[in-house]
Formats: sequence, C-alpha cells, structure tokens
Amino acid sequence: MATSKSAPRRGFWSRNKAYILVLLGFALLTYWYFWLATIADIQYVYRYFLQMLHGNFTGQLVPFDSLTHYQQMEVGLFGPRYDAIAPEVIRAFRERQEILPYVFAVEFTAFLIAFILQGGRKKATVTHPEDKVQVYSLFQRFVILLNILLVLYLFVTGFSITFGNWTGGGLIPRYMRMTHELVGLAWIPIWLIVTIIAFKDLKFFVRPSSRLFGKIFLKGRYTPMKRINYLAFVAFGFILIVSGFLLWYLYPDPKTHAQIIQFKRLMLFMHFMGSAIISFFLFETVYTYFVSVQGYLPAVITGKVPREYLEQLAPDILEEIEGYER
Amino acid sequence: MNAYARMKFYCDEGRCIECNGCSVACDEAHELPVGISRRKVVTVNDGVPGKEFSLSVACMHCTDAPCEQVCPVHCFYIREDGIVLHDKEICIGCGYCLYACPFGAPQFPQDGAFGTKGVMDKCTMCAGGPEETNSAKERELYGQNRLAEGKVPVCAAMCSTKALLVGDEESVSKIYRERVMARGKGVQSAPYGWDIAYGNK
Repeated sequence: MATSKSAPRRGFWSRNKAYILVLLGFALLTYWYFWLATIADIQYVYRYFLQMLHGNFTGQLVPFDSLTHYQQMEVGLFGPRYDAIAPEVIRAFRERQEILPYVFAVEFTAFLIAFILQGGRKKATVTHPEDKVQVYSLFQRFVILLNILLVLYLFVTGFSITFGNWTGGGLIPRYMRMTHELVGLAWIPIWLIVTIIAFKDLKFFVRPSSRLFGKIFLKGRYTPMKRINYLAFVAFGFILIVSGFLLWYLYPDPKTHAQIIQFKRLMLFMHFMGSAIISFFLFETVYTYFVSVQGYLPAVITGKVPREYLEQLAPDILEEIEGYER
Repeated sequence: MNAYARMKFYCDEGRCIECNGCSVACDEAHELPVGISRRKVVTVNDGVPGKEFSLSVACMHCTDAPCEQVCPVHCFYIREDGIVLHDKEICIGCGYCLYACPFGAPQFPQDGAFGTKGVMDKCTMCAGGPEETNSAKERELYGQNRLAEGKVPVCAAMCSTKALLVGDEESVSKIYRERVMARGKGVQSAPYGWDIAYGNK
C-alpha cells in the first residue's frame, strides 16, 4: 500500500498549484468585479465597513448636521446614499438573470474537460465486495446527507428567485422563496456541525487515537483542492448565513426602514456575492465527490466501503481506520 | 409631451402639519392589515426649532420605476397614465423592490409561512390592480379603486391643509410653483424627490 510517507517528495509547484491557481482566479475575479464591473460606490462600501467596526451601522458617513436641508430630507426619510449600493442590486439582478447561465455553462464545460482529461471516472477494482470497512458513523451520515439535501434545496429555491423570469412567479415560486428563508435558518446548525466534523486538518494538532474521534470527525486527509473546497464551504457559507439571517431577522418594518435599509442593501450585496462564488465550489464538490469517483454516494448512505476501494482510492482513510484497530 | 397625463403625488412640506390624516384615511379606505403602511408621515429634525418639517410619503409612481426594473418575476406594470401597479398573484415577496426603491414604498405583511414575508403591498394611487375594475377580488387584494369612480385618491382628498397634491404632473408642478411664487421667495430648487422619481422635467 502506498502512503504519503513513502511517496517521493514533490516540488513546490506540484504541491501548491491548486492554491496558486485558485488564488490567481480570485485575484482576477476581484479585479474584474470591484474595479471594472461594479457600479456600486466601492469607496463608500469600504468606508461603510470601517464605520461598522466602530458600531455605527447607519451608513451615514458624514454628520447629519453637516448636510443641506435637501440632503437631510433624503437621509431622514429613506436612509443614506441611495445611489451607493442600490443600483448594484439592480445591476446584479440583470447580470444574474442574463449572464449567470453563461457562467454556469463555462463552469460545466471546464469540469467536462477535466473529466475527459482524467479519462472518465475513477473506479476501484473490487474482488471481495463482502470485505467492507465502516467509514462513516451514523451521526456523520445523518449530518452529511442532511447537509447535501439542505444545500440542494437552498440552491434550487435561491436561484428560483434569481431566475424569476423563468419561473414567472406565482404560488409555487412564492412558497419556494418562503421556504428558502426557513430552510436557510435550519441550515445554520448543520453548516456549523459540518464545519467542525469536516475539519480534517485538526489532525495536524490532535492525534486521532480513539474510535469516538473517528465517529465525530471525518477520516482521512485533505488534498489541496478538497481543502480549498472545505475552506470555501466554511467562508462563503458563513457569509451566506450571516447575511441571510440578518436579511430575514431585520423585518422590513415601515417605522425602521430608514435606519436599516442601507445595511440590508449591503447584506443583500454580500448574499449575492456569496451565493455566486459558493456555486462554483458547490459544482467542484459535486464533481470531485460524485462525478469523478465512483461509489461516494452509496458509501455515505450505507456508511461502509469495500476495503479494496479504500486501498486504491483513499489510502489515507484506511490508514487512519487501521490506526484505531491497532 | 405625453399623450396621456402622468399622475404624480407631491407633498408640500411647507403645509404638512403631521396630522397623519392621509395615512389613517388610506389604512381605513383600503382596510389594510396591521403592519402595513402604504402612506406614512415622516418628520425630519423632530423637535429642533426652525428646522422641523414633515412629509407624507408613499409610492411616488416613478417614471422610470426601479421596482419595476428589479422585479425578477415582472409583476409590475405601468399604466398609460403613469401609475405604477403590481400583480399580487405573480409577486413572490422576494423584497428586491424594497431594496431598489428610494422612497421605502413597498410594504410586506408578516403573513407568509411561519411568519415570513407575504406578497408586497404598496400605494396604488387608489387605482386598484389588474383584476376586473371594482370587482370583489380587486377590492380584497388592492383596496378601493377610486380613480375608476372618478374620485381623487383618498389621502389627497383627506388632506386638510392640501399639502398633499395629486394629479397630472404639469398641474401639480404648476400649483406648487404658484404657491412658492405667492410666498415671494421664488423657486429655489426642485421639490423634494422630483429628480429621482420623475426625472429632470
């Protein structure tokens, strides 16, 4: 059995190319979005963030008294700087309806090319299917499957709002939008639990020495791309949860509208960005776990995998399980 | 010049006395549920002598309405006379119109599943909705259709100081100018929100 200990030492590029390429992609995306594509006042958004660090969430960056009579009317009634973020909501709406299908098509094409270059699905040659190893505990299976179901539901219902021109509105899309909010709330604890149990890098600090450890934390080690997927799930999931929760919690009451509307616009801006970026990593996760390798979903459902499967496709997991058995 | 009148609201802040008669009349006429306020009176610089003033605000029926632009399900429509209306049977209650509206006009009842937002409600300028004019369904969903009966919107009809003006934009503009000229000050600037809602006309 080949383990990482006996593997020859790889070069810097080979070890880190996933991080470098993803960072490069993010840098280009950030440059394109914030300096070329956006019509929001990014300087305003930046100063607004700084103001929030001081506990002021109004978005009114200069003292109210320093405004003219006319400006005071605007701010007092409807919140500050309508033109700073709200047009971004409009632009994002048009972009998401009209350009996102092309973005998704490009992403699917990229994964299709990767699939072809890889030579199809990775399959394990199993000669003793009865010799199985317990990889996932009942708790892990429950959490992972629930996470898959909830994320899938949130993805479909969330984009049913974005692509409202396709659904045409009405009762069913309305209930999809309503349940998006409620299922989003239910996803918060699931996201937190998955974040904890999927933190495989914990093994850098804690030795997985007990069976109980294996029943809580997922087994094995991350490859660079899977680690990036995990970090993206944590980071952008956090953005989606915080922004989504605040959008739901800060109910649009006419009495408090002027005080909270700018903050809600900012949260919607964050929710849009988080959902657009996490979609890529969601596709990447689906590709990595479900498409490129055969047998992941049955393993999560039953919790068991043939020993030969692990020997060939996930030796790090088998190594950890054998460590518990010793 | 448009072939049709373009119906607009304007509140003269020099006349508004914050009696809230417009808001109450609107609530009562359309039998609005608690938590919905199609029209509200806002006071700026409350309690500051010489600087305090009030405005009655609702949907401004913008010429280039941002709510209509952002609605993902295209539930808004603009009548030939410029009144911005929406179809509640299409609306999904996403709230995009609320984020896009510079006047805070869209309202959301908390009657969705488990207290989530229901479909959007806003000022119709007492012009009803897409249902059959003066039908029971139109009244239930959108309230009174006073324009179809040849009446003025109830808020403006109720306004005791006639601060709240409604009608064709040129007529409203003319009345406001005459009022300002009568004060002897001349027109210092466009009325509040005029450039945002109606463009530079």
